[in-house]
Amino acid sequence: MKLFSTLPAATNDEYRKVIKQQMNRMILLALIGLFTLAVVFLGKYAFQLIVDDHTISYYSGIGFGLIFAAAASWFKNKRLLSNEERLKESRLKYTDERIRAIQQKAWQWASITLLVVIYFFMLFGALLYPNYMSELYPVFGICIFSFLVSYFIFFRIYEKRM
Amino acid sequence: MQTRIQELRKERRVTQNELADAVNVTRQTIISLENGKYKASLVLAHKIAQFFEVTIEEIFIFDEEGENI
Repeated sequence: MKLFSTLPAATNDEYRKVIKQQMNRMILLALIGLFTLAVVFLGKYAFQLIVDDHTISYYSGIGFGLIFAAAASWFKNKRLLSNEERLKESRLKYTDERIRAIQQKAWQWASITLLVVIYFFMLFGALLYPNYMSELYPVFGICIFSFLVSYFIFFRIYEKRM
Repeated sequence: MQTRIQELRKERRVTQNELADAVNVTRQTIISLENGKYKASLVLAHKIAQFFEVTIEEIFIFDEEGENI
């Protein structure tokens, strides 16, 4: 999540703002988790929708997963704020240009891998599970289309800025 | 690209940690720079040159063919 922060962090005080921003994002993530739980439980019990057990487990897993992950990260950052030495270590990792370059390369390869996996999933999925895949094709199509469109939009934006 | 970071560091009895602290990077980045695994940005190259009080060209040796110079 720190990867998405654009705040400067030349000193520990500046880095504290980055950490606080990340803690706020974790609160937002926990709220998304709560919203996920609310959707399925309110749907089933308040609006009497027919929701099977598998769907409830699925939504609960995502909801609780998000809440616990956000809480763990929030407390980790809270501890970091009170320890000057560990804060400095963390700041160096956050600002280190080599680590940033590694992160960018990792994102680049992860994106390529995702596209390749989706491609093969669509290719073999259609042969093995034709009924499911006919419903999943539009979803994959939207994902790939959004990915490519956002790439070209951001490319144009940064082309003008840099 | 080769660098003279290790040579200058040893000459002036500076540890990798001290250099890393002075230029605001991790020790691993200094190790990678010394090994030639990572190429420093212009800003980092400038900070390292400032630290040793030399010019960038005195620390970073560009391979003219490899770097297309």
